[in-house]
Amino acid sequence: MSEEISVLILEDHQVTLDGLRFGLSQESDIRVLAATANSDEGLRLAQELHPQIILLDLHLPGTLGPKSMVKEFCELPESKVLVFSGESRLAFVQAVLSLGACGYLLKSESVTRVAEAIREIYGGKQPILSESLATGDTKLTKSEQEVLRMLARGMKYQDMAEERLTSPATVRKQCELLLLKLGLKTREELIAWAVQNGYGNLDTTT
Amino acid sequence: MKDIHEALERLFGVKTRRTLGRQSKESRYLSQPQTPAPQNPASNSSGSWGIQSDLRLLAEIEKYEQVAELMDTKVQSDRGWLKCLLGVGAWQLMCQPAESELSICQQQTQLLCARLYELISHLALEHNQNTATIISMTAAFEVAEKRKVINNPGKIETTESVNYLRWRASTASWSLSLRARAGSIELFLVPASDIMALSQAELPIRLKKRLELKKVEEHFVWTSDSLPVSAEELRVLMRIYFRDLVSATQDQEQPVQSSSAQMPSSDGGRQARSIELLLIERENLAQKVVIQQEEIQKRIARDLHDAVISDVMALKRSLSSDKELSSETLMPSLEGILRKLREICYDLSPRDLSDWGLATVVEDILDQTAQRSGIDCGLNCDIEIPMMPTAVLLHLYRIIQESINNAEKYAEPKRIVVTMEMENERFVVLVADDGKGFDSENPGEKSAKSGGYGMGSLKERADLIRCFYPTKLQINSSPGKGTRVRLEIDLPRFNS
Ligand SMILES: Nc1ncnc2c1ncn2[C@@H]1O[C@H](COP(=O)(O)OP(=O)(O)OP(=O)(O)O)[C@@H](O)[C@H]1O
Ligand SMILES: [Mg+2]
Repeated sequence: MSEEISVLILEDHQVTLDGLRFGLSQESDIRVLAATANSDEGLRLAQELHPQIILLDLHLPGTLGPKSMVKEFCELPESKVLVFSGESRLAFVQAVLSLGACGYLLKSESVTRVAEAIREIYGGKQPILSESLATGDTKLTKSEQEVLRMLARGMKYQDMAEERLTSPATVRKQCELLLLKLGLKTREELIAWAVQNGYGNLDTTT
Repeated sequence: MKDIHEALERLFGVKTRRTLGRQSKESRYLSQPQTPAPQNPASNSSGSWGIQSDLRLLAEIEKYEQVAELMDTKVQSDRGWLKCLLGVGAWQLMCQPAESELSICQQQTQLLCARLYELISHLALEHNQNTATIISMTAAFEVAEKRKVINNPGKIETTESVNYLRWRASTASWSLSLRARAGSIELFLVPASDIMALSQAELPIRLKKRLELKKVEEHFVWTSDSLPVSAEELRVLMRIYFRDLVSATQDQEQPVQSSSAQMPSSDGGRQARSIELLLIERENLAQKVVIQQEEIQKRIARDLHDAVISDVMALKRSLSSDKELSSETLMPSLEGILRKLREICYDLSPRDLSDWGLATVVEDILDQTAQRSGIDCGLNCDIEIPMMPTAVLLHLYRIIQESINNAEKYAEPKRIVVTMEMENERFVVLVADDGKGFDSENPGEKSAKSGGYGMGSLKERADLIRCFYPTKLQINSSPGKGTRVRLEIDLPRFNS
């Protein structure tokens, strides 16, 4: 079995961990190298075992806070990080992805979906997100709709920033969040999406 | 406790026990600054230290045990800051209120003391990761008394009291001790066995460094041996003194004192002196209460999150895999529970703040507000939030949260914008809405009626931040013109 994907699991909720271990052991192409509840221990294991994928809970006992923990794991050159967490607020999801995580799954996902995501990330796809993060639950805010309208009208970041009395960097960030919410990859896709969904029409103001 | 009362009675000739109940009730009245009556100079100058400040002192005794507990714990940055604050705030209270030159000196001194304390705390924290060398960090305010005979016709003996601000980092055997008066800061390396005898311990030969605030043209600068010192030099100096402290400790063959040595043991005079050290003012108690509250909330949230949410999640997983348990009907209610629990957590917990930083957390408040209300909410923040003590960040976060809440509740705005930026050394936070506004010049009547607590708490928190950095809070609003809450924090140059 040369094609086995090696996985390290960091999870402090015993029931979840048992579920993951069992579920993943059923998958012939995935091998769980080790599991731990402690982030320091996890980091040590990762440095020793070089897993291809690290399945990472956000809130773990150990000396590191979640932000610095995710950062440490993402800096490991041989491993890719898939975060598995109950945290569904977008601001935090975005913070995690900006640290370099390759995927973010909510804990409500099935083990089958976790296995699938592991394969996708191993295959080089990213970012992998829970569907409810990408579209389902999250409505677009007024300010995002405004940004979409401006994009659909073909405006540049600079002009959008001026109109919204903010900085281009902020507009860019907002667009990134929109990509995340809509499950899109590039700015071009976003513009196309905005046009297709009627944001180009001037009378869509609500 | 019994011994302390006895010691006090012996020292000051006052019955402490009897009055304790009454006094401590007064000490709970947090907002009224307590100053000795200046209109009566006779009582002001003739009273001995004990009588003059016995009210304050007695109030402190009640807090004695709490503080003792604090002093005994290992160095932790937050607690360290808290302790420093206790001292700084108490000292501030004794400072001249007017914008006099003296008050500027006092402010500058206070700021530098807090800065140096921060530096030492960091060093101690770093060092303690390998060895638990630093066993206590304390800060206190002290009124020392100089007895003088003034050569006036009646030959009346008068006393002059000096307000010292102190902090101290102690190992088992040595103590790096800072003593400050307005415009002058002295650092001593003192054997721990001597530190109970305050004024005797800080002998000139033990003086490591004296920093003095000098007026050069229109500005005040800190000098050492009449030469200006830079922030970098101070940083290096603190490192050196810290190393001295550690190596002095290592040289000591038998550690003569333990951390408990800082607490009174048997001798009455010593006890009384360490009570002097514990002179802590009511403002600082307020700070402590706030921090404790946050601490408790943090714990509750953690529990809720860890126990409840994870279990519900597990339940949800098993439900979604088992088709027979009519999951369609159960799912929505489970989602509902989850959402509610998260809301509770969110309200309770500033944990996200320490985990993810101010910008992410504010972004999230705005996200939630936008989702809930449909208001166009935005964050402008292109900077790294500067390093500030956790306590400050917490107050900042609460101020922003309350301002956004108010805007959502009352303003009916189209937009709410939060801006965080640096203007040179100044960190500026602005929460602005374009809603209907109110009369910010005369808010008293209305908010008194509505029983509002929010506006008051904004000011209170700004005051608490002011214990660390010079801080300005402006609330600008008029009917029809929207509302702008602006907070300016002047960070010291060597913070960044
Ligand atoms: N952004 C705002 N726009 C319009 N009015 C405001 C705004 N902020 C505050 N106010 C007015 O000021 C009053 C006082 O606000 P404050 O936050 O002190 O009390 P509250 O919000 O009513 O109560 P609490 O904050 O204790 O829940 C409010 O009742 C409201 O009338
Ligand atoms: Mg309010």
